[in-house]
Amino acid sequence: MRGEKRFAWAMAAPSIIALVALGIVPLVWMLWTAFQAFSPNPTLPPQFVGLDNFDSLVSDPQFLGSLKITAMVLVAALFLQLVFGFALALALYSIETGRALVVSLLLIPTAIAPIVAGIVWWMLFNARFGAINSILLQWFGVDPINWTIEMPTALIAIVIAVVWQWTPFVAIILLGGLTTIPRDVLDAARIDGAPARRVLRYIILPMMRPFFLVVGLLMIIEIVRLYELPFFITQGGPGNETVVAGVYLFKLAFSFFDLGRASMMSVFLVISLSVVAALYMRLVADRKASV
Amino acid sequence: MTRNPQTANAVTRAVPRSRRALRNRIRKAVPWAVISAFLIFALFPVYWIILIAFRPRDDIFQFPAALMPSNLSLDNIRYVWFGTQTNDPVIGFLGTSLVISVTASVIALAFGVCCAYALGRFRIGGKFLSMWILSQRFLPPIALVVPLYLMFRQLGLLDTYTGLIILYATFTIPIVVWLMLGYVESAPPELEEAAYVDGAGYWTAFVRVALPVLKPGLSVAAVFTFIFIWNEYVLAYQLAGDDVATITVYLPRLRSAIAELYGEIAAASLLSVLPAILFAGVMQRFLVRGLAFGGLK
Repeated sequence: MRGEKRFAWAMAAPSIIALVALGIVPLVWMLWTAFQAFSPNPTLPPQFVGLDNFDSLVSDPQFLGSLKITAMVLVAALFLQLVFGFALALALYSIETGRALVVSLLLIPTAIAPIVAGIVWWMLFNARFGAINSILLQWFGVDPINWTIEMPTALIAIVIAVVWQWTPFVAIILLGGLTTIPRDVLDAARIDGAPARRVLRYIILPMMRPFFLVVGLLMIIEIVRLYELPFFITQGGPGNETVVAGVYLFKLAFSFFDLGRASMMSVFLVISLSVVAALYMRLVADRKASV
Repeated sequence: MTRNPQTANAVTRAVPRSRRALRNRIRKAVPWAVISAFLIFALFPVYWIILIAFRPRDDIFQFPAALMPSNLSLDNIRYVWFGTQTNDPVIGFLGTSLVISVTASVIALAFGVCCAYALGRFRIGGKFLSMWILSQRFLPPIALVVPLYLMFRQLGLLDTYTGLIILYATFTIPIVVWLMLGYVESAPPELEEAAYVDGAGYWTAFVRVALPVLKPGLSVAAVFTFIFIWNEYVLAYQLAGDDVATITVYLPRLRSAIAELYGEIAAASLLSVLPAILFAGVMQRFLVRGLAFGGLK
């Protein structure tokens, strides 16, 4: 028995050591650097400044603005992803043939690198050579729109790109949820003559709740860490109107070399994401216990 | 007289039947309409990048952009493949990405499958340990990039293969553990118990008996880790990017050149997404089976 445990710990040790070294150590380091001021000159040692970074961060309009913009993208994108994702999941659930092929094709946006997704949408939204303005003009007679350099179209462009990249993923997770609903429950409801709307409202949606929560939490994490899409599509512009949290963190750290303040912002992001992650793990544990 | 009501009956029955058939047909058509609309939305950008990649330079910079393929040209592909005075050929960056993705994936798979086996079979560390490892998946690289940058600067790991590989291997271990736990738990332990009775040690039983059973899961995990690493940009750019530059770092570089190399960026992007497109088919098979709750079924 003891040999068994010793073997098991030896098997897990490399992973645990790696995760501590590159997961826990940076976190602790970050807690330390969040209270220091760094000089742009890397040879000068950082100075301990207490809560200065925190104070300057919470009074920094750009930081607060970046949170507001992230929240706006989050609300818009999450809503569209869940609504479209569920519609798509229902459609995929009800077809009998070709599902594997359709799903493979639909997953291409999710499998593509975010930086490439940024490039693609930057090209599509280009005011002069992009496909979107070309379609609008040729099919609908709409004059060219300066998508990426005006508001609110710049933000809309980012939301569309986020929705494009992640809606198929949302749909597949929700489709997985739909397949867990026992067929005989649905058949029984249908035989009893329940209209489709009521089946959806009273049977499908309640049973899908955990799946909506899981996929919603995963999407919150994806959007909070959003960086590549705004970086490529709008470069944060016009002005700073599309500087999401991730872009501002990069600006602080690698444009202004304000590594102390960037650390403080990272601490803030890690704490927020940990809350989301804790909710997710709770949900997973509950589900495991109930199934 | 007696036949009349019957025919009348048949007629009244025939009307709702044909209406029901129509409704049935609509019910069948609606899902396909939804799916078609999404397929167009999902694939149009891919179509566009292929189109631009093979479009001659003069045709690219025209307003309004032609939506259909016109003249085909291999100039863009040739440009990124062979490089020019101002830009390096793409092949070196694809090579760097490949070396890093494969090496880091192999390490993550080796570490991760051992860890998942220990957690799934021997239940070490209780719930806390497996939850802790799985929760690491939620820490996006961007949240840790600042301390990692400082650490790497101190350790001299900035812009090295070693640095990126250990980083990516570590970041993908939770994905491997998360995917493999389910496979370990659903594999019957009797096989290994039989091996113990035959005098095999724990390690031999793991390698000879358990691993072959876990192979399908490992190939799924390999696809996920490879794609994750291949697609990663934030760490690749911030912690490396000069001597060790991956394909994701190469792409934005084309934009900051003197002219916006539209067709060239499209061509390089196209080359860079080929593995992802190939692997979307593999991902599909696993995802539908329920990724939502991870290996924790």
